[in-house]
Amino acid sequence: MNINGLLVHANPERITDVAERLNALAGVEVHEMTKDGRFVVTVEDVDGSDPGDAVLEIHQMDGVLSAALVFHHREEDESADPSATRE
Amino acid sequence: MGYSASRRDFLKQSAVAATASAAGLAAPAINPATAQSADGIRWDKAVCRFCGTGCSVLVGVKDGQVVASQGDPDAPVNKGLNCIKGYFLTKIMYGKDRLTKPLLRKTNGKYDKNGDFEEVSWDEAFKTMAEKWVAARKDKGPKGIGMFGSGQWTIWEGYAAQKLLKAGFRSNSLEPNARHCMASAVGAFMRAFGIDEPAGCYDDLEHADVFVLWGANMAEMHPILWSRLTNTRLTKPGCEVHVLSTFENRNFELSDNSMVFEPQTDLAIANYIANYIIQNKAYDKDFLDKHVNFTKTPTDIGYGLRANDPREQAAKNRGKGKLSKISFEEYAKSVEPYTLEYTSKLSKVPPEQLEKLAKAYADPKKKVASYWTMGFNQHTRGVWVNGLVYNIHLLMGKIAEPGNSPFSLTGQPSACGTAREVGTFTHRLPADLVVAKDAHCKFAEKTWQLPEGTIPRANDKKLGKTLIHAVAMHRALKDGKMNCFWVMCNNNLQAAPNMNDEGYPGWRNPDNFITVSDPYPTISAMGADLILPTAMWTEKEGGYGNAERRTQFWRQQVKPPGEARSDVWQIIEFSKYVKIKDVWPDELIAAKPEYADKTLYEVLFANGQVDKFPAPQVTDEAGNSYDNDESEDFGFYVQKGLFEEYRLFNSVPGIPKKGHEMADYDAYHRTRGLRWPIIDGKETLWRFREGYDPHVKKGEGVNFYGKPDGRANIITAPYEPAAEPPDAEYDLWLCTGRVLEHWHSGSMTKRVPELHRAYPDAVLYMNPKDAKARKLRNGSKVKLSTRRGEVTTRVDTRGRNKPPEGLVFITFFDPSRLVNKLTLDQTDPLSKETDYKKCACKVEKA
Amino acid sequence: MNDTPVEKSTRTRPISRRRFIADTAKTACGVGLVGLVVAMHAEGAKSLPADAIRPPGALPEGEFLASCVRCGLCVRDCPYDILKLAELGENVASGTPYFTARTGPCEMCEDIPCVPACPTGALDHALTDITKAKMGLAVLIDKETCIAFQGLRCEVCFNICPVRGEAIKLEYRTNPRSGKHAFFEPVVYSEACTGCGLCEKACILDEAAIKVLPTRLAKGELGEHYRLGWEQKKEKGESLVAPDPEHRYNLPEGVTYDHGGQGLVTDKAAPAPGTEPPSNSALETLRRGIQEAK
Repeated sequence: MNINGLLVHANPERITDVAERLNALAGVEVHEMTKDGRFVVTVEDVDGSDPGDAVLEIHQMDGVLSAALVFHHREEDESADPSATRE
Repeated sequence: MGYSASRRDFLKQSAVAATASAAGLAAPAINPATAQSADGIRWDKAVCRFCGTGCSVLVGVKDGQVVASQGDPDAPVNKGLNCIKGYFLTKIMYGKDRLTKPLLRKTNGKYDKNGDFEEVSWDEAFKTMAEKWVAARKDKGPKGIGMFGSGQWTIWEGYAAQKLLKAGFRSNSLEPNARHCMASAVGAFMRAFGIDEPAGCYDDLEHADVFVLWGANMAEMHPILWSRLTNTRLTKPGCEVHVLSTFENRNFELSDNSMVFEPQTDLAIANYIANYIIQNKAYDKDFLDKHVNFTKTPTDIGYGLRANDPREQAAKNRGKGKLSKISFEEYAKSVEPYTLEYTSKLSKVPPEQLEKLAKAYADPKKKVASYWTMGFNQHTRGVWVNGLVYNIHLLMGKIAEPGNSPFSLTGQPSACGTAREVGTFTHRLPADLVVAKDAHCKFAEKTWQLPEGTIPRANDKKLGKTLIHAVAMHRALKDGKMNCFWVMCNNNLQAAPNMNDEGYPGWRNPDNFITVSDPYPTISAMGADLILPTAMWTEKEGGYGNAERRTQFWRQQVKPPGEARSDVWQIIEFSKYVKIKDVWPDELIAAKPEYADKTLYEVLFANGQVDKFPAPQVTDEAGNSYDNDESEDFGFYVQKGLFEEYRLFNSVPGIPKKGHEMADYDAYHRTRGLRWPIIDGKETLWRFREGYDPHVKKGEGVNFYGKPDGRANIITAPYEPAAEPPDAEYDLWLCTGRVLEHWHSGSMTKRVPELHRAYPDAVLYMNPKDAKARKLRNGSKVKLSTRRGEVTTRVDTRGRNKPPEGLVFITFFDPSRLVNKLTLDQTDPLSKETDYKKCACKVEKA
Repeated sequence: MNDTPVEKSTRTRPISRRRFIADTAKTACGVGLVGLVVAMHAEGAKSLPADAIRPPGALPEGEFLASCVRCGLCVRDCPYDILKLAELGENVASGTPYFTARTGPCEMCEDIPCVPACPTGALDHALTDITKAKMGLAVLIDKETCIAFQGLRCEVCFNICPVRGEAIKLEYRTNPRSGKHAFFEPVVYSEACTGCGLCEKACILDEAAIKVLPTRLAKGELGEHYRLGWEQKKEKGESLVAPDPEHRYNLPEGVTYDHGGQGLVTDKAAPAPGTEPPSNSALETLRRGIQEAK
């Protein structure tokens, strides 16, 4: 499991189309968007995709001024059931 | 259940939150499926199971068990804190000996009072019980049956019980254990203000300049409130703390003026203070002219003992309490004898200390909050002494505003919310209505869709005198006049006074059938004939009302063990086993012929009002789902239906008494408690004061609207001696009570190993000089006895409680030391509340 | 230190010399080994494990071990049965009496029956006042877990302490997080603490946050060369060195200077509510109130 939180700054005049293109990327989800061009984005591994590729793409996306990695979590295997037996 | 959200979702949510925070944005609303922490615990709000402080808690559930708890950090009462009992809330439901099946005494397959307990089905249990109840009601009338409920019942449990008894069985034999706890306070509220419960709230703890504790061990019994008082004392320059008690206790550690007084002389001290105020002309004449009446009450009223007791026969005005109006001058004359010298001599408190206390009250610039609990209420003149402190506050106009607060501290978590507000007393109905008033009964009958005359009046034309209070119930059981008794949510055999003479004999009287509903096998359960396994606390959807008029609800968090069921389920289910024809006379049925073939259940609970709301899918704001076993079983939203019907007594137009308005059911689940009266969705913090209380009109300033003329009563009351002071043989005062570590009869706290380890036995606190004089020392094994019984224990001369010479103190939580064998079944004749604090005993080497 | 009896050969028929030497060597080694093991135990036990507490009046450990004849009379005479004799293999010198605070603390009997029972004085008969015993020292070891330090109302250690108010005191602090509650923090004072362990037993945590430790582990020590000035003054009742003659200052009208106290006092600021003591006459107080309102 590989989950990342990205703070993306985009040109305030391009926010709608940047949002569209972000959401179109595999494993990427836009959660928050402000008028001055800040985005709260998560990037995760989905269907075997590598989040690293998505993050690189976001960096190079037209209209994006910067993308900062704020949260990063990587685990070997995904634990299926959190309700493990209590001792 | 909603708490099996995946780890991925949780981590994703963490990513969002972290990033949003970095962006300086508020994190977007939590995805409902991820409302729980990664350790799989689901958190929900609830109320502490213990004292009247009413701390809010968060309960953590995992795999169907309560596994963790925390003080609710957002709660204004306790801000995330608990005392040591609240700290162990997660353990109280998991004692090893939880009752899981109904148990009936049987021999050879049939009920036998002398048989052994055998497991039975709920059906058999209720069939047996219904048979006995119907027969007793028929043969012995309304007082032939009785129910003893609790200030630890939820609000709707009390309400359902009240309907079952007063409307179903047509009997006023319903009493709560709050009779042993708050009845004197209630009596005084009604006499002085015409409406129950304090004018102020806990915020007075931050606004007062002076605190006075009258016979209240707040340090141990309302620990979180004491923590607030302590903080004010630490941080507010000029703050003073005065403590009055019959023995030195933990409150003395903070006190600026610690007074140990001779038992019963609190009456004199309070009169002295009033005298001081009048002699120094410190009273607020304007306030008195506008808002206060002066009254007197009959004196020499006895001690609530059995009528043939010489003390009762000597009483000139046995049990009388009718007020008559007097003038200010007459009132002033009534307190004149209480000079400093007289009072100091009588009470054994040094004069400088009394004067210091009086000055604090008399200083118009000092805001004074007075607090009291059982020292004042469990008192043969409890109503009087409560009233005397109201007198002081009324003389000075120090009432109904921030910081000026005569505050009666409630002991139990819902003595207010359930017993008092719902009115689960022999003489009461919801919202301060009383069965003595025909108009009130008619209103209840109308609301409950019953024919007129269903509810027995106090002095009923057909049924005679129908009132019977707690102590009288035990006597009636002993005398064979009451033959059926249902005890719920209390341990009356351990907690009621004079167990050997007046408690146990009634329970084991061969004519009587005793049912006890409890989660654990207490002494009472063992003394019963039928034991019903009962659900506890968060095993049911519940609501409590605390001492500052704050009502708080919680959802069902876990399922009860085995076949245990909640009190409300038991009450409603039992009502299915009794037919209207069994308990109502023909004339009554004739007035509502459609009820003729119905069961009590159909008339009281499936009546179109209580069953109005469909069985719910209970969820919280985060989207988690919760059980509601009772609603599932009966097919409608039981708790909501009962509560909304109850609100017809206090929150709709046209009710007989205003001032108890509450919010709707769902509002309480959304909020962390609301303080009533609630008008237009706004809580009331201080009552009777313009601007704070919407019932007070502009320009009125203050209005004590519980009284028809809007004025409060100052009521005279003299010092009168106790019923059984020490004498030559029984030469010590015996005072009983609690310690911080244990709650009441210990059925919950003694099953928490840590609390048991911290305080395993009831020891006898004794003055070292008294010990020495009896050739005892700390740790000596002793026999403590009164005229009524004895217990064996150890002496503690170095404990946290340090009695003066002439008094000993012991706790009543220990089932191996049944202290109530020793106490006297004496009451305040007006409130009928037992005095557990004063009788005569002796201590000898064992 | 060696308690194991040496096994002697009991054979009657003659044995070969080789055999004899071999057996003796074996036995000697064996004995030596056992002796070594027991000696090791005893050595290890000279430093008593921290949670084993000697009865009241016990001499310092080395002397105690020399004097205690392992008779068990103190154990017999303890009315609460909290003393036990160490068994072989335990980390306490075998046969000697001790108690464990967490499960069986000393109940501080006024007549201290264990002490007079001791025939050799390993429990010093000079101890006649149980409050002067020094079995160990209670230490509030973990403020992170002690719930009183988190603001909760516990204090069971304080409640149960037989010399409460002297050995354990509660210190009050305002709780800044809550803004309206106080902390009730238990603090141990070593001079009055007897090390009985009642506090450790009462502690409601799964692992007690207050523990009785051997005094040598529990105490620090102020340098011999240093004194706490305010304590010295309190003891004497006055300054050790003659106080100053009165200081005088150049100050504007209405301003004073409090040399030993708050320093510059600029004006008689209005007293906070309640700081001014109420006058003896309520009328006076009322008058003051009216004046102040003007």
